[in-house]
This record gives sequence, structure tokens and C-alpha cells, in this order.
Amino acid sequence: MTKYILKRVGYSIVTLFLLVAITFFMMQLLPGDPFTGEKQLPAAQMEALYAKYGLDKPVWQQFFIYIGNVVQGDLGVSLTYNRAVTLMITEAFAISFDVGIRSICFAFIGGVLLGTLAAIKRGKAADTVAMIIALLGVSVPSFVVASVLQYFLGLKLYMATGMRIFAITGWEGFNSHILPVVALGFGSLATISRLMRTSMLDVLGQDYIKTAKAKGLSQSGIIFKHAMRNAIMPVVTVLGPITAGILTGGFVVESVFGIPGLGKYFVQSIQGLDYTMICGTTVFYGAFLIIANLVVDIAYGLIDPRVKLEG
Amino acid sequence: MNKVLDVQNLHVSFDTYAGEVKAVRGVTFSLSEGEVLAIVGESGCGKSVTAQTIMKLNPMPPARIKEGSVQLGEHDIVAANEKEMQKIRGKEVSMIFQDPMTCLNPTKPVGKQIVEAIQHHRHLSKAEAKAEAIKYLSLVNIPNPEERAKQYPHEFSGGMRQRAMIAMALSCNPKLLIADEPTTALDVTIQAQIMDLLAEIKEKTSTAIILITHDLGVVASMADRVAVMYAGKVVETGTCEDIFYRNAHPYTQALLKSLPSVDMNKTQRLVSIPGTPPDLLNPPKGCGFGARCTHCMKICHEEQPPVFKVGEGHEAACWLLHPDCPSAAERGEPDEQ
Repeated sequence: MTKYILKRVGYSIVTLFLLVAITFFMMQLLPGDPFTGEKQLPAAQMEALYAKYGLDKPVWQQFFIYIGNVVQGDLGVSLTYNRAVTLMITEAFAISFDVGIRSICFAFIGGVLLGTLAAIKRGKAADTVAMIIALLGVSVPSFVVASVLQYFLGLKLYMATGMRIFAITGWEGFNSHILPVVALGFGSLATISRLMRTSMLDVLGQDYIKTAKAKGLSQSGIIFKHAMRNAIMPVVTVLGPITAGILTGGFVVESVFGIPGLGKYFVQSIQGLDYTMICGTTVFYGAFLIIANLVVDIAYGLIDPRVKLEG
Repeated sequence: MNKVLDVQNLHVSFDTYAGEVKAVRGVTFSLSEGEVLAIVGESGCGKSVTAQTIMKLNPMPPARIKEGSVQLGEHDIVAANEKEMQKIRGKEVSMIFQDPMTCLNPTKPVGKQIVEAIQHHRHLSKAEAKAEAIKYLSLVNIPNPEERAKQYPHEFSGGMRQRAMIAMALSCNPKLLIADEPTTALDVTIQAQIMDLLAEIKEKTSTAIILITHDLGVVASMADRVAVMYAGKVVETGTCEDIFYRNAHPYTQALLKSLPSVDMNKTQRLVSIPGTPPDLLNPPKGCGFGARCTHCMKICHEEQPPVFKVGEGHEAACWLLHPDCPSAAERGEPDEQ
């Protein structure tokens, strides 16, 4: 186990290095620079700015300086905000993470239950309804879901009842959490429920389910004690990519609901060619994704005793 | 002796898109305490459906008990609802399946799966149930039962998994144990061990056993009585001796003839029964075996043969046994005896 984790960490470092390198050089290929704005700055001032941020050096030199700093945990200073990138990421990600984790829990629990229900009631009305919900979730993009929720549950419901049950924007208090979490998690909930349904149907046809039934267990006993754990495994596998998707893809929902998360900075930094911020957020998201996948692989070994994590 | 199981005129059908598949068409047999009944017959003749109906394990629908009664001890299985069945399954009657590789839950330790059965039916504490599970694991000759109970199915060999299944099936002292081809998926040496174990259980406990198999060798060593099934019907029942030496039904005879013998020449071809079993979507009006039978007469295609008594406890359903049936010479067939 230790050997396995060490090996994975080793691979992760190589992956991260490649990620930084590719991002860094691709970024340099983009036309323009961070200081080209609506107003043209005088040439002397531009040169002074280049010198201050080390942009006057050859690209390969800049790259090694940057790598050196990253290794020491310094992601540089944002060229737009003039604040430490590390600090900005920590602040903003705390909020994004909060939104994301809630969405993942919503998607996972909701998806597993919906998929299980559909599998048990296969071919009946409940199955059809569940799969229509899942189809909507897979095909409707999150910003549409977000707007629809805002319009109907945030605005119309308020107008009809006079009570602020769901806040339309912001991230303060539980009633403002519900809509963004649902909007962000809905797509993943749909993916998970479809996967869960297929997997559950497969498991329910297995011989050991017949054994459990022959023991005298009830339907719910069979589902929860025997089928669930086996059926959930494919879902756990996709949980890594889903987590990454929700946490990194949150910027659309974040901007619809006006949540001050990391997504906002990520988008802005690309638009403004904020080199350090682009690299910083990429490294951060990359590292996060790698860790999420590692955690999923380890969790997989805990759920399925047959999986041995060997180096 | 106490009757454990009494099946009378059982009809089971499956409703499919193509129509009603009459899988079991009037099966009658009974079983006393400690008795071993073997049900033999080729694939698709309704052996497993009959067995699963006793536990109501086949999903209903599409399966449906059309007619007949199944009396298990004091329980009327046909009338019992799902809740009552949950109390009966595992406690009164339990089952061992064909493929031990897939019958145990891969994500639960073997011991835990046995404990689950024990706790479901017997009101024992967790520690007591655990001790019971270990006791049963050692009863089925699993070495180091304490250690083994903590292991997962994938750490067991095929034979050991089947032993664990047997331990689980026995753990609540069922009155009836149904073994549905318990050795088919195992290799020959392990088959012998499992059969020895079942014979041992027969000696040690008063559990009645229904042994479903198409291996006649297995039957001979262990069964008290044999029921030969064909196309959803029992065509002949009797003791092992009746079936092997005094058989009266042409299907039983054909089945025994297709058994390869030790002194057979290596170049000799295996004997098989020509033709295929009838389509149970549209079963024939007369005898199910008629189309493949070498002694087939006109009446065989017209009417179902009734059950004739051949000897004490020995019955067969064949028109040849009718008192008015002409002898082989009169029918113009070469006498085989």
C-alpha cells in the first residue's frame, strides 16, 4: 500500500511538471500580453513592468525561474490583482470547495438512490420518471438549470408565497446554498443515476443475490446489505472525474449565482492573460484532480476486497 | 416417518412474449425426514424450476404456479405470501446452487454471510452467531474455520466455496436441503469430496435432501429414491435399484444407455438419445417422449400416459405398462431383453 502510494505520488509529480510546462509555453503562444489594455502605456513604462515581473528574460529562463518558485510553493504574484496567487487561490477555493463538496454529496446520494429506485422498479412508472430526470440532467447544461431554478424557485415561488424560501444569489446561509448546489450537481446526479441503474440491474441478476434471497432476506435487506456495495463500485470509479468536473467546472454556476469562488478568477485570468494566475490555477486544479483520482483508487480498494493496490 | 415435503400435481408456467412456456406440467412427489430424493433428467426438463418453486425463488411474474400444491411441513407454499416465504427460506428449506464461484457475495467475508443467515432466523447474539458459523464451517471440513471465516470468497477455492455454501445452507437446521446440481461446476475430485460431504450430512442430521443432477453416477451412490423428469413431468420414480435395474420407462432406459461405462472401447462413440426434447411452448398432446421413443405407439401421440404402478413405490408413466398393451413381439419390435 505505502509503495503503491509513493509510486503514484512520483507519477503525479511528473504529470504536474508536464502540465506546468505545457501550460506555460502554450500561454506564451497567445498573442498580446497582460499589460496590453484599452490604453496604450508608454514604452518606458512597459519595459519597467516587464522587468519587474521578469518578462524581459528569454522564455526558457522565465520557465526555470517559475518552476523553481513553484517547487518552493510560490506561485507568484497575480499580474492583474497584484496579490499573491497562492493567497487568492486559498481564499477563493474555500468557497468553491464548499459549493463543490455539497454538490458532490447531492449528486452522489441522489444519483445512487434514483438509480437504485429505477433498477428495482424496472419497466414501471418510477423507472421511466427517474430516467427522464436523468436524461434531462445529462442533456441540459448547468447554466440553464441554474437560470430555470432561479426563475421558478427563486423568483416565482417568492412572488407566489411571499416567503424567501430560496435565495436567488450569493452564498450566505442555507437557503442560498440550495439552488447553486442543485444546479451544479444535477448533471453529475444524472450521470451517476444512469450508471447506478445499469450496475444495479447487473448485480441483481447475480447468483449471490439469489443466495441472499434463499437465506430469507427481504427485498430491502438484499438491496442494502448485498447489492448496494457491489453496484456502487462503477459509480465510485467515476467519482474522481466527477469531483474534478464539479470543482473545476463550477465557474459557470458560480457566475450565475454571483458566488465569489475560484472559477471567477480562472476565467478572468485567461481573458486578461494573467500569466501567473493562469499557471497557478492550472497547477492547483491539476494537483487537485490527481489527488482526487488517487483517493478514489484507494477508496476502491476499501470497498472491493478483491482489489489489491500493489506497486 | 414424517413427511417433510409433499408436492402434488404441480404446474408452473412462464409467461413470455412468445406465449406460455409450460415448464412444469404436473409433478408429484414427496419426501420424508432424512430421505434423499434425486431428480434427474436432461437440461430444460423442469428440474430446477420445480426446485425453485418449492422456495418460490423464481421471480413471479413471469413465473406462475398454475395448479397443484406444495406442502412443506405445516406450510402451504403456494398460498404463502412473500413475508411468510422470508421466514421459510433458509430456515425450513435452504438451497445450494450450481456455481459456487458466483454464489457468494464477493464483498463480504464468508463468515459474515453465514452469520447473516443465522441471525436472520435464530435469535442469537452476534458472538453466538459467529461461534455457530465457525461450528458449521468446521462441520463441512474447512480447516482453520476461525481464520477462514474472516476471509473473502475470492480467497477460497471452488470446492471450499461450495462447502461454505453448504455450511450456510445448514446453519439454521433446515428440514429440507435442495442441492441444485451442486457438483456440476466443480472438477471431478472435488465433486467426489462434495458428494461425500453431503452423504456425511445425511448421516449426521435428519435433513431431507433433494439432489438435482444429470449425473447418474452421483445418484447411485447417494439417493434413496430417484425421480426421472422429462419435458416437465416425472416419468418414473422408484428406488435406486428400481431405476437402475428394473426401470420401466423407455426414457429412463435411454438415459442409462447413454451413460459411458468404464469398459467401453476408446474408439466407441458415446450413445445419445436421437432428437431433442419437445418445445414446452406447445407441448405435444400425448407423451412428451413419444417423438424420440423407439417403442412409440399410436396412443402415445394421442393421449398422456397415466401413471402405472410397477412395484412397491415404483411408478412409471408409459403406455407400454398398460395391461392391454401388446407385447414387443406383437408390436413387431425386436425383443431387447
